[in-house]
Formats: sequence, structure tokens, C-alpha cells
Amino acid sequence: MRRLTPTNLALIAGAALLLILGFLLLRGGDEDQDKLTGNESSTAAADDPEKRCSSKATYDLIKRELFRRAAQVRGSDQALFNRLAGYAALRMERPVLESEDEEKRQVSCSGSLSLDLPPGVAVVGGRRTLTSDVDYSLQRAADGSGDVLTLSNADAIITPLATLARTAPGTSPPLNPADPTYNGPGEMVPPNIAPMPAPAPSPPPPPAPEPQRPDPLESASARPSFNCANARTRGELAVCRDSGLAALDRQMASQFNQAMGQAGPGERVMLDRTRTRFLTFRDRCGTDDCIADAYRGRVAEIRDIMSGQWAPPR
Amino acid sequence: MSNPVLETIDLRRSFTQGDVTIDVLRGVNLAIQPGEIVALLGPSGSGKSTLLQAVGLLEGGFEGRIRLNGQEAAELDDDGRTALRRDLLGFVYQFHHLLPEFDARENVILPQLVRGTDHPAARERAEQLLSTLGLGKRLDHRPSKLSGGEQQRVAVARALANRPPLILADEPTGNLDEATADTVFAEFINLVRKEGSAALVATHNERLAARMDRVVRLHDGRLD
Repeated sequence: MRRLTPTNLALIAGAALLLILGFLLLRGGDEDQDKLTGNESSTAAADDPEKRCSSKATYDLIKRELFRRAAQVRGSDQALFNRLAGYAALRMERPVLESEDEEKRQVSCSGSLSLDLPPGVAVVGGRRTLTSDVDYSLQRAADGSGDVLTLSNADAIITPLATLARTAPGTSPPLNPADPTYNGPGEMVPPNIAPMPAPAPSPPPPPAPEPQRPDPLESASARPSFNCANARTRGELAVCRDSGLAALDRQMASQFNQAMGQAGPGERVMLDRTRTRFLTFRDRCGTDDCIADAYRGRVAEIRDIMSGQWAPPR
Repeated sequence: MSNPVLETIDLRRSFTQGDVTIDVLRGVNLAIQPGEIVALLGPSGSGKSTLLQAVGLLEGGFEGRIRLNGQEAAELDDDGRTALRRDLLGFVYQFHHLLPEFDARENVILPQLVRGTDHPAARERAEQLLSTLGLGKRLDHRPSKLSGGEQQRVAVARALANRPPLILADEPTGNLDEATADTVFAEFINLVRKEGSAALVATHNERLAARMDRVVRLHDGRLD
């Protein structure tokens, strides 16, 4: 074997260094590539007029604008409405690009909007879903901070939203504002928001008893519908800790499975879509009461979907 | 004499399209006293709706002054104008603009809840107004299940629900057949009088205008 000279050693070291650098660059490139994909897609979304109409950022702007204007109509509770906006879910069916002004970088869009309120609050008549066909336009902010939204034809949502109130006791568990861990949406409703009384008498809904929080003694051995060994989210962990919540989970899951078995294609889609929203909401809850409320809301939601009383997006 | 519920001083509004500028309002001076019902007459395109838009604080771009219950509108920001609309004004349009997802009673309850009225009182008030207008048995019906005349009656009840000092009505029976329009218009005027509100009612119907306390005519951008 030839003896390694200092020159050879330097060459080998240089080659090794180049290899390492190349590897790092490639790895870095991968990471950057991931970021670029995100950037590319957000750039694409930012530049593609149709994607601007239907981007998550646009929907978030619309949601916040709805709550801002509802608070303005109400004349109070702006901060509360701002916070509630974070818990509401917005869906836009058939977003359409109506026109584009390339010079001003402005797009005008329309769509059928549905706003789902979080459990624990409702508008007149006990409704938690508001729908309307709306028009909206987006123009680049002069300071480059994003799009500026102009929303019109949304009174059918804004006016009822301004009547937002906590749901009546009995349909929602008593909230405990004194609990320092509580950060669920119900807590955000100040005492001066009057409870919403029961809606006007209407044809009786199909029999589906409103779930009550099970007696801890009766449900001491209750287990949730899922395997607690796999629990990861805050909501799942809470359900696994509390036998009352576990019983509610089983009850809801049983109702859901039964409903899926009986549902037509349209109802199945609705059950599935609303399920994701329910799980997201449940996992944001900060207290067991909030989670229990979420389950009660979900049970009512499933019942409404199956009885045709849940208002689907137009 | 008490302070006017509405006062406009030298109110002007122009629209510009390309090189063409049209002066729709050329200095409108108008005062309406509490409880007074005033007909605003003028042919189509004379600016009646523009004037109502202005005094309803629904659009900007006006010159001159608008005072509602002594409050200078120009001094208010967007929130202040919204509050003034909510607290002082009721609107009846040619087309009812009822919320389609809500029944007749709920449409009348809604503005009261927004104003802060508690639900039982708002419900009672809604039922009382709708019953007065002959809709006692149609409370639970959505707008799509009501006739045109019934829809407009609900719109009248909604406008009066908060007992506003001033009602602004733009051709309130303009989309109804003559017989229905006469009936609804009579009910509207009777109810406004009974409630003690003032009203500015835009119409081009001389016969209906004659039933009001005073008639003002918009001509060439000014009131005669």
C-alpha cells in the first residue's frame, strides 16, 4: 500500500469535505424544496385569481369580517366576537371568480357561504348555521400585508349573527368562569348576553333523547369508543380520563354509526364533513364541560342531519 | 315646536361616469317633525331613492348636512352611523328584503334582539305587530310561503319593531298589485300613526301621497 503523503491526505480530506457539503446541500435542498412547495403553492394561491377566491386566508378574512360587522351592528362586544370568530367554521360552496382587474390586482368573487357557530351559542331560533349567497372582492393591500376584503350581500348572516347568545341552560352545561383552565368558547359569552330561550313551537323532531351527562356512578366503568392507548389529542386524553365523557363519547359514536348505516349519500357526506369540525372543536376545548357540551352539540347535529332539519349549504 | 327628527341642509349628490357628471341632488333642505308623515313625490329617476339613501346613512359621497334627532351625521364614524341607523331608523323597501331562513315572527324579533331587547319582550312585540297587520296565523311561515302583500306587511312590522322615531320607506307598495297596495299602504300609514313615528315615504303615486300629512316634490334635484 502506498504511503499517504500530506498532499494525498489533503486531497482525500477535500474530497470528503466536498461529499459532506454536497450531502448537506442536498438535504438542505430537500428542506428548502418542502418550503418552496409551500411557498410555491401559497404564491400560486396568491397569484392565481381563482385560488385567491377560495383560499383559506380569504375564508378567514371573510369569517372575521362577518363577526366584526355583527359586533358593529350590535354596538358592543367587539372583542368577544373577534374571539368567537376563531371558533366558528366557515364553508364556501361553489366559489366563483366573477371578474379580475389585473392592473389593480383585484378579484371579485361570489359563493354560497355557510357559517357554523360553535356549540354553546346560537342565534334567534336556536340556529347554529347561517347561510347566504355572498359577493366579495380582494385587493392587494398597499403595504403588501396581504389582501383587503370587501364583503357584500351578507346581511342574511350578519344581522342574525348580531343576535348571538348563549344557549339556554339545559341544552348546555353550566359554565364555570372561575375555572382558570377554562378557555372554551362558552366562557367567552359574557353574562350580559341573554340566554336564548327555547325556539317557537315547531313540529316535533324525531325522537332522539338529548343526552345528559351520565351519572358518574353509573358510568364509572365506561370506556370511550376508541382505544385510549392510542389517545393523542387533548380531547381524546380528556375523554379517556373522565368516565362521564367516555360515556358521552360512546353514546355519540353509537348514534353516529347507526346514522351512517341508515344515511343516504348526501347525509353521509354531511355526517362526515361535520365530524371533522366536531373533532377539531372538541380538541380545542380547555375543560371537561366544554367537551361535554361539544358532544351534546354533536348528538343534536347528527339528529338534525338525519331528520332533514340541519340546514345544508345552498 | 320640538326639534325635527330629520333635517337636511343643502344636501347635494353628484354621480360621475367618464366625463359626464350628473347632479342628482342640488341642495335639498328638508325638516320632518316627530310624528309627521311626509310623502316624497317625484318621477322615476328624480333622486327619491338617492335622498333616502343619504338620510338613511346608507351611502357616503354627499355634501351638505344631515341631522337625525339633532345628531350631526357627518361627525360620526362608521360605528356611530351604524348605531344611529339601529336606534333611530326603520326601513321599508320596495322589495321586502326579509331574511329567507327565518320565519315572519323571527324576522320581526331580530332587530329587537340586536337592539338589546330581551327575547320574551321581542317575541311579544313581534306577535302584536304581526297580528295588528292580520298575520296572526302566519307567524311561523317563512317569507317564501307568504304572498307579496304578506311579505310587505312583515317588512312593515320589522321596520316598526324598535319603535324608531323615523321610518324611511322607498315605494313600500311598489311591487304589489293596486288593490293589495292600497290595503297594505293604509295599514302601513295607520300603524305608523298609531306608533307615533315620523315617516318619509317615497312614492310616485299621488293618490297614496294624499293620505299623508304633507307632500314634498323632488324636481330637478331640489324640493319644491
